[in-house]
Amino acid sequence: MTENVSIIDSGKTFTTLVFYTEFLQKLSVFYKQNPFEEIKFKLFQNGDEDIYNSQYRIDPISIPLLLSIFEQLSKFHKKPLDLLLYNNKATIEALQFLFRSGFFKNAGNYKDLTFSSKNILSFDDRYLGAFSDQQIRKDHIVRSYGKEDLNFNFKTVSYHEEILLRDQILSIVSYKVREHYAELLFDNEYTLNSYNLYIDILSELITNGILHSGSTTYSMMFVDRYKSKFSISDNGIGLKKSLDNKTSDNFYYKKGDFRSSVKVKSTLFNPLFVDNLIDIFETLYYSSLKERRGLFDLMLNVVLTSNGYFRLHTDNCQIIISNRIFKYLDKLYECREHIFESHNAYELKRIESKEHQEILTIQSENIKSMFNSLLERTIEYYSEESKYSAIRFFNVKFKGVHIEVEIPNI
Amino acid sequence: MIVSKITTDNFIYYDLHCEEVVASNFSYENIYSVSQGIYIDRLQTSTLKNIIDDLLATNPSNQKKVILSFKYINAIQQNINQTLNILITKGYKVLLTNIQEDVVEDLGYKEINNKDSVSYNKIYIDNITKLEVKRNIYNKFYLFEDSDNFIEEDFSDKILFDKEFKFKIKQYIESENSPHTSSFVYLTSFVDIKKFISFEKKLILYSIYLLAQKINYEWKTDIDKNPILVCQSLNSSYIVSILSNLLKLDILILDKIGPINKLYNRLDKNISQSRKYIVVSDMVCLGTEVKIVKNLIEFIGGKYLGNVSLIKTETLKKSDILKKDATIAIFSIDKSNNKDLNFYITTELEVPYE
Repeated sequence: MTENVSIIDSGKTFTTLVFYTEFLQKLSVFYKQNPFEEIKFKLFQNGDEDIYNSQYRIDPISIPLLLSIFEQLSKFHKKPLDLLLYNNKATIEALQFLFRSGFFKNAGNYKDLTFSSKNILSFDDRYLGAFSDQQIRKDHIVRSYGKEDLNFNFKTVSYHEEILLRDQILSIVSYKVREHYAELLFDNEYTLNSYNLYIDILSELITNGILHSGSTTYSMMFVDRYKSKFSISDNGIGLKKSLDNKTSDNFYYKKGDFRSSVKVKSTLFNPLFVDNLIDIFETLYYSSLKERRGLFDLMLNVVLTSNGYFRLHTDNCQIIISNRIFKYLDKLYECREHIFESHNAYELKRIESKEHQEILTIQSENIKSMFNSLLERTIEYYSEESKYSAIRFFNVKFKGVHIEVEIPNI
Repeated sequence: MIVSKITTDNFIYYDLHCEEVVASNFSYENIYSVSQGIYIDRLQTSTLKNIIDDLLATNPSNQKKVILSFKYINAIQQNINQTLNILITKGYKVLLTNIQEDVVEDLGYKEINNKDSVSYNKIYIDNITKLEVKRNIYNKFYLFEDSDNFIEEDFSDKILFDKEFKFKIKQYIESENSPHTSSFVYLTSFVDIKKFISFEKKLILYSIYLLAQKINYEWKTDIDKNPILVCQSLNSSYIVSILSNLLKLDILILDKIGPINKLYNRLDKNISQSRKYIVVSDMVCLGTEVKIVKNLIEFIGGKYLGNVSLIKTETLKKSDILKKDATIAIFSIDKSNNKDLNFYITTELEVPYE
């Protein structure tokens, strides 16, 4: 009989960092030891034991990550995963929060006209009760977005160009994003001032998930006195593959352009990690050259206009973009604006093709070299002290793209 | 469905905010979403694409001059300029009206210089914070640089709409000399509103949208306190149901105050003393029904804010009407057009002079 894997451990807040460093580690250990067993979870470490000495807390924005990994595992096992619940003095607050935030509604097996659960966890919902009257804010709930959640028929509509389909989905998602998050965005002066930008960011990221991941994208936003934060998590093909899938016939970008320019010396850690990191930079590099606004622009804007943090995780690696690397961001922003303006001017026939190409060649070289020095610096810095570095490496691979954004509340 | 398209000899006109409102409130993709009525202020690519598709598909005279009104649009979906550029590259001459400078910047059109694109400062009430904000607005912003600026100096959306509405309603005004339904005068012709609503669905929807904007503007402080829209006839119940969706307001149906005047409801159950009321009509001729409803509401103790209508007749000079009794309408039959519309009000009395 194998032991159940616990999710929230007593005395330790279940944050996104705990998820990457400890929870994934637990899973990996389990599968190494029991390759043929079905995994079973218990929501709280001590269950009904040691009630008076146990405390359980969860950071709301780690919920999307949990749902994402459960969806991956339930696909792997081809059935909903068993989850044991406990409802006692120690667990009730965390259980209540998870319940009211819609965690169980999303993961269980419930259906109505406008909503259908993902059926990735199997649990006894008789434990979900006897809660206090204290309500949580109605906007603090976890949302799921999949192709089936949109009233949009992907089959009958023929969209010849990917871009058109993308714009169409983006529009539909934007309406939902407005409905789901506007109230929360209004509660923080930074996000209020550029709330249109945040609608763009959320819609863009969720649309990416819907279109490329082939799975559900989960997201949650949470606002308290000190900051607004949200996380978006899908478990799809990841950045590298979706970049590979793109048929790019642009003069300004060839596949692997950035990778071929990298000259990283040997490092102390797993070369796979560095590889992973270069993939992320490759995606950002491509995004910084495009004629359309995208991931790169949004990331810069979070930091430059709202003083926030932008964390992007895929596979084994997470990059953290913040004001700490301001001098790079400022210059990158400048180059990017040059490129974007040049695209626009060319499209409106205000400049000749030759001039356009020249501008792009110069600026893309600039960005490339800045990315390169950023890459070198972060790796160098990481080798010495990982806590304050702009990258984190994790031993256990978690596929998909996972983004967290934090914005201070003034 | 495109509702705001107006074709003239000179150009084709679309109201983008109206199209955005219609798309976000009534389209299939959004049926399960909580729509924001007219308070949506962000233009989505899908809406613009619908308009451009419509333009490219149904343009028999190959009119290449287009006006897109950006009134009430405060923000745009990113990359939307790529959709708009389709028109420019196809050789269309595009004019953007009432567009905010920020939006022009976001679209990436700031570099386009036309001497007739002039901006001015305007004070707005922000939808969210309810604070006053100053913004730079371009009355007209041309997306080309030569000087073939195809509209008159005094172009206004209002005049354009009036012309279109007058042209359309004319077909539904039939001559007959009958007594007015509730007041003791004769009407020389009958405006068949039922037929008008049935056959001109798009124009009516556009008109109701414009009416919603007027209500929102007129009662900007009261609108947050959820006044109730009152309908008093079958035609107005159609209008009220759409208005309530656009303005997110409750409705009250008082049927049969109008041609057939009969009270069914126990009014004190339906009219609440603590609420405010706006009376909605399809057409206000002499305003008798409106006065009946106003009295009913005030008798029970509710507060009457005013009345709105698609069409009104202006039988008095503006200066002779109390502000509170004036009807807010999107089309007026007045001395400038009643002859043309063949709409007269007469009595048996002798007229003072011929």
